[in-house]
Amino acid sequence: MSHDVEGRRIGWLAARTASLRIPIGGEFLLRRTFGALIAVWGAATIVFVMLFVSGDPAVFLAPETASPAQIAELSHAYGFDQPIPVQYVNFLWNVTTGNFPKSLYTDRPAFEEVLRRVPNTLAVSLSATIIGTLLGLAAGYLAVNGKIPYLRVLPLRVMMVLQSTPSFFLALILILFFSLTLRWLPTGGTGSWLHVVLPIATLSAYVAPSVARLFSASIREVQFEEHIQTARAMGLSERRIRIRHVAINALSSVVALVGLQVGGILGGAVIVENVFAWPGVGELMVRSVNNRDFPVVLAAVMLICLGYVVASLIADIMVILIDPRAQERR
Amino acid sequence: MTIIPSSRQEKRRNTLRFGLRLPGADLLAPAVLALVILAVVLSPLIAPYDPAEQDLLRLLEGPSVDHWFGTDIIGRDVLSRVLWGGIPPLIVGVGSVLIALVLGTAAGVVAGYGGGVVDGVLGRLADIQMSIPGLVLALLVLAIFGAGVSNLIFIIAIESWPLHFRVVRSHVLSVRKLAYVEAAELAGHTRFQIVRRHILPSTLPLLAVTATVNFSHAVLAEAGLSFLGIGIQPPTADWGMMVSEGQTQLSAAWWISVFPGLALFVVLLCAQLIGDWLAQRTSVTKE
Repeated sequence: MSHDVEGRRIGWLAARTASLRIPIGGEFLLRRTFGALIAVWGAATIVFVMLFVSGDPAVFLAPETASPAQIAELSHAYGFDQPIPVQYVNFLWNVTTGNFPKSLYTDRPAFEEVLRRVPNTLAVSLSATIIGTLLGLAAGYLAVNGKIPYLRVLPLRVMMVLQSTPSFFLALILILFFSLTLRWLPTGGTGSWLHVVLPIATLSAYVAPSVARLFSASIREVQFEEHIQTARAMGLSERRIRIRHVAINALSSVVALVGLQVGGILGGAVIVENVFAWPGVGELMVRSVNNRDFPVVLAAVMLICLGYVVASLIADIMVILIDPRAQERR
Repeated sequence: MTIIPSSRQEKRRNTLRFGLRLPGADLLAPAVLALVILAVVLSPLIAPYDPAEQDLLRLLEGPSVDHWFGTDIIGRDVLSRVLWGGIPPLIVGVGSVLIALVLGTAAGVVAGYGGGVVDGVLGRLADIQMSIPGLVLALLVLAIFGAGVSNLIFIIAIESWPLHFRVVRSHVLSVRKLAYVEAAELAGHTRFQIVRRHILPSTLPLLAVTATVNFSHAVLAEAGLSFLGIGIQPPTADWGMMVSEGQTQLSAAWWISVFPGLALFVVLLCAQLIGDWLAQRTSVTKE
């Protein structure tokens, strides 16, 4: 027989499921989702303003060889000849429905072009986020609890060096070593699982350092809290205290940090995809900028912003799942 | 056996044993950074060759006595280009940090001291600003308005003002209720005087930290954009761009990419060490 928080006797099953109850309030979810919508709207507005500050958006969206008549036609089709407030509403509508002009390069709908690349970007950035976070957690944990002095110093030093290395430079070093010298891995492109190793490694190296530094700092902080003393007084083993009580408590700030870093990770993915010719959204975007294929650039920018906002939302929810107290702090 | 003292002791022992041991070690990073900046600033005087001068008889030569860092694919001296190539990142770094500092501090003081609607609007603006990934925003702006040093400075400054804004705002909020600010108010000083004489000086240590962090972000952003071919345009020498120029020659001539990359790395590492040191001194937690 178990007891609930108020000391009532409840069945074993009820006691188990009580701790599994999802601690997220409906109000928080609603507020946070609303905030995410505002953010997407803000991003769309910034893009809209920039398109208009620069002159006639139809000129950007039409091929460079288009005749004035063709530009006027496109201008009419997307409503660029209407008053600005009407255009603004139209623009927001087109963005939400994914209605961008056709790619000037491949003549397919721009949004489709970008969507086709999404799985590739997702594969690299998601796995890099996971691997990088795990590496960072390991390094941060060792930095505090390592048995040998070197184990405590070295991980953070390595992380510091990684943090100061631009990811494109790290990528070239990895290519130089693993592809050109050892000839173990391809220098770029797609084909086999070997092609994905270096991109993920490079992007993980971007994620890991800040995770490691924050994790070790918050472990050091949590270490001296009262509930840890209680655990020690109860006679729990050091190992159990370190993992079950200190590390888990320090974890929520790490998840919050990874959430804040999503923007940087997506930016890093743009660079990594370009170095390794990995056909993701970022590679498409840079290529489209160089080809002056603006419909694709716009579609890619909007999609990345959307992905960013959604990812931050997920990170926020995860923080609360790990540490329900975070909900009240906000 | 007590629990707290022993763990506190362990903490102190750790910092003693693994902290910086040399008395001058704190100065190492600033000294190296100063040296690099000096070399870049003096590049017109000390660079052995003209960074644009081509020597078509000596293409892709490795490091030698004549060309310490070798030559690139059209026979330009890599050492000279590395020296000259530091100018755009440093200009963009310093320029954008200055603009972002002014913007962020002004907005932070206004929001923190004024409060109310202004505070809400500025805070929302900073949030929206953060909802576009920096590199993506920069790509879009540079694609629409064209690449160039001034556009780079502008867009990186626009991206980084919330960093200063947040820190200054929360500092002003905590300081404005303190006795000395209230005393200044009672003494009849105007808001402007109070901000200038009593509040701004106390933000300086915080700004030193955010500025350092911002500087490395700015240099990194400039290098990344130039690497992607959207920042500094050829034939101007630039570290990020040189790394990308050398990528196709990596197997034949590693030195084209590696030396500018190393220069970038040294600057970023020094900036980070200085930032950490400053943050420790002023006990500001970095994000």
